[in-house]
Amino acid sequence: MLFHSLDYFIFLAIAVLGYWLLHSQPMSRLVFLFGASCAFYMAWHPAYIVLILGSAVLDYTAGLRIHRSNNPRVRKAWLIASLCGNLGLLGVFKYYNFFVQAAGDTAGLLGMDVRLPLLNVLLPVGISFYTFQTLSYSIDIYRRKIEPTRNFFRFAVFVTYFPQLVAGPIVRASEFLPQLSCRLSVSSEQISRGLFWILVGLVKKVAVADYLSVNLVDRVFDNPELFTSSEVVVALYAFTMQIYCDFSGYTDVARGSALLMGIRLPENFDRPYQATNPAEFWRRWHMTLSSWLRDYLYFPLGGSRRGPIRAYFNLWLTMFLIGLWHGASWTFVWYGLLQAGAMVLHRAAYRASKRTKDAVDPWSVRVSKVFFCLQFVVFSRILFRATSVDNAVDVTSRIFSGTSSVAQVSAGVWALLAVSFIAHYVPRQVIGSMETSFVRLPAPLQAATLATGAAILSMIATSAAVPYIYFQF
Amino acid sequence: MTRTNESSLSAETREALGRLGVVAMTLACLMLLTYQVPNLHRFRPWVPGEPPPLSSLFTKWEELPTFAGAGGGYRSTQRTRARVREELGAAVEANLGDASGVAKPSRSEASHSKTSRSKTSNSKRSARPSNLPPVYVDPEEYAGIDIFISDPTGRGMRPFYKALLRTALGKPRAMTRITHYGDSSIATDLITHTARRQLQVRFGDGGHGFILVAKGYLPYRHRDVYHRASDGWVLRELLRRHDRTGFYGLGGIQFRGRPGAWARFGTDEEAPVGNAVSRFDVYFQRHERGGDLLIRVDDDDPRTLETRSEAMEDAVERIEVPDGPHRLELRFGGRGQPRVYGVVLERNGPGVVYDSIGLVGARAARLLNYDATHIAGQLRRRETDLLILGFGGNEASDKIKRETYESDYVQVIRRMRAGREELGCLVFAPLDQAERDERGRIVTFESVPDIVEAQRSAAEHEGCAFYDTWAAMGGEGGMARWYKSRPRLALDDFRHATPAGYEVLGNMLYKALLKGFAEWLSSADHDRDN
Repeated sequence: MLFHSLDYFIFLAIAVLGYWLLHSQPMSRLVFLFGASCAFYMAWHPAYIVLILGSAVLDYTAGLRIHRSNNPRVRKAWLIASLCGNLGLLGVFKYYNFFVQAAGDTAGLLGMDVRLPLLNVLLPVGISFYTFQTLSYSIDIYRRKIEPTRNFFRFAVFVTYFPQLVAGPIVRASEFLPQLSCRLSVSSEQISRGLFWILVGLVKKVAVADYLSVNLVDRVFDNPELFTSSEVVVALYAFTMQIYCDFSGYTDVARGSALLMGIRLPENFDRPYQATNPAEFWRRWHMTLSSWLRDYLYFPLGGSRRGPIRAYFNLWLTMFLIGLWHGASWTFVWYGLLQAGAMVLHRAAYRASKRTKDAVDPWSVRVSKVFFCLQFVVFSRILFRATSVDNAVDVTSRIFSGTSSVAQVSAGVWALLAVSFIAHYVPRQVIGSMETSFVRLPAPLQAATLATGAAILSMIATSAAVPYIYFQF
Repeated sequence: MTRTNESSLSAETREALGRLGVVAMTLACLMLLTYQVPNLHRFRPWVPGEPPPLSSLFTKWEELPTFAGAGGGYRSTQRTRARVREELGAAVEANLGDASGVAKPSRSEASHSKTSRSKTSNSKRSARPSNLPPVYVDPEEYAGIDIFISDPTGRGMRPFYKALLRTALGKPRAMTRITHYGDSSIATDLITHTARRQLQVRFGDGGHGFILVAKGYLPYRHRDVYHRASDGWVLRELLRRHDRTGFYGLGGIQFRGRPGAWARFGTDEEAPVGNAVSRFDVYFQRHERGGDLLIRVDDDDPRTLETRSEAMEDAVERIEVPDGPHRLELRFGGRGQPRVYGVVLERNGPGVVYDSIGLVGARAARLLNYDATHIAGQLRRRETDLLILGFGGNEASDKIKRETYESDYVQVIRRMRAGREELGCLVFAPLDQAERDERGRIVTFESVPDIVEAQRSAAEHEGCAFYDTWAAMGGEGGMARWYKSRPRLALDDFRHATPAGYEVLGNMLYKALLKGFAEWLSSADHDRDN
């Protein structure tokens, strides 16, 4: 069930209504929310609900056992069970076929004939998100940062909560569970903001991401040889904006939907194309994934506390895994290596410059840094979007074909690119003031604004519903 | 965790929920308004006749529209059909996706060809009177088209109809094979995939036909089939005249294996047609630097195919398997340079096989890059009954002279047909091709009518049949109308259709073939042949 569909909004209305009607019956409310979330997930593939429930049962049990025991061995054993269960699930469904094929290819290069069976499985939607979410729960309990919940349904709602189930944000138990436990409350302002975020998310997805995708990006990556150098470059900028609007649009709708139930989900984006360097970019892009890997991988590996060489390695590994998290293919291996290399180089340059953390660049220097960082992001996205390494090579080689016409870029694409990039760089207060204006509107006018927005979007929507890019991760 | 008092809501929360209620009620009223005010009908969020909202929750996931599959993932509804009928005409509306009226393939039907012939999915057909001839096509089956196949000499389609009759009669191993060449509109396997599905449901599933070894960097696609390949293949393309010998294979690309190269082909359990195979034919080249190919079927031990020979020659390795789901793997065998053209997946029949060979960016004249003997041999070996040539889209923006183009097209037909009267021939005109003029209007290229007429004339000259795709789209201005329609049937490059648009064309082609067949069955030509 896609967020930009009538189905979703009817579903959301029923879920929100049921949630608030059951405000005085906490257990029934949790069971209702859990049931609604399962139904939401099963609309995609009923059978795979077993995986998510299996993961929930494993981590619920592991959490309780880890908390109850004072025996370090028992605690560690349950933690390992949780890690193996979740990462095993991810490994089998997401990475197994890729590694088997890679092993076969490598063996072939060495003249050996190695054959391992491939699995005929679909990648379960959202598996990379909910496995990370449940893992953080077990690890935090092991670290005695949080206490486990004894209510299975409360935990199950944390794992399956439908607004963020399939593409995040990756929520920590410490942020989410207390919101299910405390007295329900929501303010008029939160309701209004929630509605505004939903509208903004839909505009980003339908009006920008889908339009750019259908009218330029997909065509260029499908047939790069039919486009000139300039058109390919424009398509790369278009994809850069498409993926931002696609993913942040999803997040906006998710956060808005949750806020209608008084539940606050974390932010996932902070205008990432304003970053001045790769490190800042990853602090602004998919923030919940970056911070997850920082807290549960980079810091446990020692972070920057074990000397510069080890710090470089830890950083490299973390960034490489961020790349590979996105998908099991050679393009994401190279994407991860590129991002990891850029981060290591940036850290080395930063250390060599001996700048202090609070040093402020002049305006012109900052602009040029933003510009160069954006170029790195745009061109590294070739690997993100390409369907294969050959496709990436082909797109890249077209950039150097020396042809300059932009006849195949329509006026609509130009206009949309201009508007969306300008919107990305205008001061935060401009967008904030629009939000505030919406919040201050009387309820009927808010409804009229939403209805007008929906009508306009229905007119410009592409004929086919385009799924969110991050659903495949 | 603290035990909480959740029995009552604060005044602030009640006020917030009140606001939410007002917003929801206002939205509901505005939605109701779209049903009451005719001018607002286009904004109705749901239209009677559409699947009820949330019904997808109770639909088997296999039945949900695919995101990027044939049809573009939309469901036509009463609203969309009415709008399309008004804007694009009854023929387009009648062939829109699930409104096309043609039999929809189901797995059980498609995988059992004999059953599908005797028990058709259309209730009208199943209720046909007993006094009809053994092969009968109900006019209802091809209702809803206004452009038909023109075959003034009767020579273009006769071989195909004869083969189709044998298939329809259920004669043992009676296969009907179509090989459809074309440009990017064919490479997506959307027109061909739609026609393939319909023909296979109607006459029997003969398998998937010819599949290239690897996609490489081309946007090649063959739907409803399992197909994976490594990056280890070097592509020698007809389009770019990479190989001076002109030996590019049936699919126009010669694949040269490098260490680590592999490709896998097989049936797709999820596909509605083609989920069984009786034989794999590996089309390859023997040559003096040939190498070893390891061929493995399912979990059997691999066997080695040696491709070295003193003289360069084309060859086919046939691997017979019990009819059912199977996979074949080709792998570089460790020495030399194996050169492979592609793999054919077929069943024992009777049934129809439809090869889709799309050459992205191709002009028809590129087919002249083929060595004449080689391509004639490939088509003869393939035992193709109907050769379809679908070019002209890329030529639209070229500066062409009609006379020159026509004579080039005649040469192309001669090169491909090689004088074989037993090879049917159909020229499939291009889609409408358009661009924006200086005032921003979407206008058909001036060259398109000339291209279409040149193709029609060349077809007639060479005894080929002709299908006017351009007219089927509505002729002049068709692309603009298809682009403006909802669902959108053309892309904004004004050169290609959307998946939904291609599906319309695929359905139209299928019905045109069926109508031609029905007329041939009742003609003197048919009586003489029998």
